[in-house]
Amino acid sequence: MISPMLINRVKELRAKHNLSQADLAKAVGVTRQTIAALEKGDYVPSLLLAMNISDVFECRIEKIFTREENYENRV
Amino acid sequence: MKIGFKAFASTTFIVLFGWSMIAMFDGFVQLADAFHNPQSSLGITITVTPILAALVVIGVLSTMTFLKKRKTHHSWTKAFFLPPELEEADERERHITGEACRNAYIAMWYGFPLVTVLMFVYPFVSELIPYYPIMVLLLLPLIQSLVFFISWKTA
Repeated sequence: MISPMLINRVKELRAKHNLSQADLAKAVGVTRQTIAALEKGDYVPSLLLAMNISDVFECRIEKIFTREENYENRV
Repeated sequence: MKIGFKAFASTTFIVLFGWSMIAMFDGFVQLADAFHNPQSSLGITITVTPILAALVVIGVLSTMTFLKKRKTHHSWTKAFFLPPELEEADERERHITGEACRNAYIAMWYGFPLVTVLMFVYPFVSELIPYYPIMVLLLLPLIQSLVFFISWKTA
């Protein structure tokens, strides 16, 4: 399940918005464990979940989820 | 419901089912003997302890699971027929279930030749363990469910 190609700023933005993992999980309709896995980079969310997270943070998806810089060189 | 409890419940189901089938098998062996030897009596003796244990334990666990699932499902058929292992709370759990099912499917392809080969032993142990085929047959769901739960746990 580990995807080294995607990095995210969910933990940082969650702290900025003063949200707990449980709060964010409830807001986007997933379990707290999913948010934890996502923050650790163990889980790549679906597009729908990424959109829901971006709605909560009022931020564009690409500002939250980005590919690793050397991704293009590796493929 | 925790995955560890689900694994324990599934393994218990399989073991208790196997135990009760062994008791039933013993009864059917006696019945077959009675048919082959018309002089003997038609009466058979079946040990009811394993059957009762299976009915009670499986009944209690199934009822508990059904009542718990009934709260989340509107349809009682879904609550009744859907295995508790396939109860996913979100997309990540659905993904893990998908991976675990994939591994359980792979395990089937390794498990069924193993089970078939183990049947070769039966002629040598048929006197000692007449119910050996039941044990061997139940090895397949046991392997598959163990692989499923280990995959889930390690995901």
